[in-house]
Amino acid sequence: MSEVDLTRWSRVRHADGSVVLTAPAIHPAFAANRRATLRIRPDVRPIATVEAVCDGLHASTAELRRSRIDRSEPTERLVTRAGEYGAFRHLQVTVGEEPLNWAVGLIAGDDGMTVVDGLARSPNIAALVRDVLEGWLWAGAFDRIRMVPYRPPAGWFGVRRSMATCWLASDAPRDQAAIVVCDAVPRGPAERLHALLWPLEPAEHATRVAIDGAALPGDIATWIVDGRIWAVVQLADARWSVRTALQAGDDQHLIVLRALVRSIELPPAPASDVPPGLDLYGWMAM
Amino acid sequence: MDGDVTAWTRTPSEHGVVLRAGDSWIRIRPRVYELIGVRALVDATIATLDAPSSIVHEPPRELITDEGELAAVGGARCISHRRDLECTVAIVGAEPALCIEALGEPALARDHALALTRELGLGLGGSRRRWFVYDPPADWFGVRRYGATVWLHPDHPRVPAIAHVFDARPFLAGDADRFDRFVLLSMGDDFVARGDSTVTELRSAYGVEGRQRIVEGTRRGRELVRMAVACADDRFAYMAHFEGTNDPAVIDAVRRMFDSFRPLPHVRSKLAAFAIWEA
Repeated sequence: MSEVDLTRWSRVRHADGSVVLTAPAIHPAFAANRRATLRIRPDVRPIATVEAVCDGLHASTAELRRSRIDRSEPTERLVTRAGEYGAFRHLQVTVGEEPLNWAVGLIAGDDGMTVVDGLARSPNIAALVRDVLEGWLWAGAFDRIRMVPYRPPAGWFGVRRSMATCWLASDAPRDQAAIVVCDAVPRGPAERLHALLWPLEPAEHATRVAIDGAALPGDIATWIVDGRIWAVVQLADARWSVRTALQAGDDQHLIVLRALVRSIELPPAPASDVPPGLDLYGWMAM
Repeated sequence: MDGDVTAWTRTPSEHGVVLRAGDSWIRIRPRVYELIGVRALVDATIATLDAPSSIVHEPPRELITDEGELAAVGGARCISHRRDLECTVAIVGAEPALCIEALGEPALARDHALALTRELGLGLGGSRRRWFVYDPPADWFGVRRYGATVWLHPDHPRVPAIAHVFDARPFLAGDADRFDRFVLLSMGDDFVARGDSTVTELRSAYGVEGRQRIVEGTRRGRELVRMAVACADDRFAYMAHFEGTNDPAVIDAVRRMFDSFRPLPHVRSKLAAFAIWEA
């Protein structure tokens, strides 16, 4: 853990799985006349933006409901030491006449997220929330089927499906082009499960060309069925496989598909500075 | 491959895919979050039939997939429109679970569903936390919480007795694990211990080894006992704690639960050369 020692903070675990930590009345890092609180809510569904999370917390927290919020600080994207994506925002709120610091962040999983927020007079709460987000939270196994970041075509509309996201053209349904971006799949038995859901097999007579500039080696297979273009991009290395597919009425959309594929990022690897060893019994102190 | 379904037609569904061959079908839902038992899933699957009758359930059983995941399997035979039908369901993993439901001609859908259960990878990652098998005290009431199952005495709160059994944790050290233990595993702060705690070695009936710590004390004036257990095999830590009345019958029931902790299965080797080590 970082310099802030939470061991003396009081801790209340609620039935919904959330945990609220409250700083001792006198704490060197936080103002004595307001107890800092840190709230951790795991497994919040569905995934939302930090702005939406802030709105939800603002509406549902009695103390914050009466407050005025200065939203001038931008949202920051972060990658945790475990290789997960998250976001963070530091806000100034005024409760009555008292100016407070409110830090809100989340770590995005596949179907849900962990939300952390801290409220205190001291701005140190922002660093604490950021520390918790970046290094202190369990976020699941790295080697799972998981979403990866990429730049979708401008104006296209995304619909989340099981283990993939479908993108429809900006002027759908007139333009019936669609792109499917599958989640990254770890090589091995999970590939078969994913292939059952998304059987993106190129036709035997498809033309295959290597695709350059992508995060992983791969190729694009294209063929035509009833005047419509079909394309499947398969990117893979020894660890990950990412498949993408297009169906469109004209080959202009192949440019869109190629740009999207080149923007795909691999899941960030976990930091390797995790200390070895495990204290199996330390938590048992009563 | 036993679970070859290339000849089956495939229809995407909202949460997965449905495979069909003749009147038989297999539904595969890879990420199911609503917890449901095998028997209930069998009943729900049979309920899709028109006027099912002569329903004969088979007892639920465990299956270990090729990936080393625990699966619960159940089934039933029934008659609908004078046809013999067979239902097979499998739940692999826990939260979320891969659910496979099959219904149709006896043997056909069942064999394919079981083969798919064995062969499909979950894609949730080998190092995730997960449920493990144990026998909870009879008649205690289980409530699922994030990362743990909470077991309440049948007469709770008149009889104060709550046990937390945490999901098995992979051996991943670091700040995240330490913080998580502090936040989620540690017991409440308002307990006043009377005297020192007693630490004893523990070995479950299924070979999981660790330590058990016991201390008596009071919380809000009430006489209580606390027990904490941490066991491990070579991959996972299995942890639980109990706080409640110092009634020997209650303590014995909790001890029997701890004693029933079973280690999670290993991945089964596909290489014949290693089969001798797994015999």
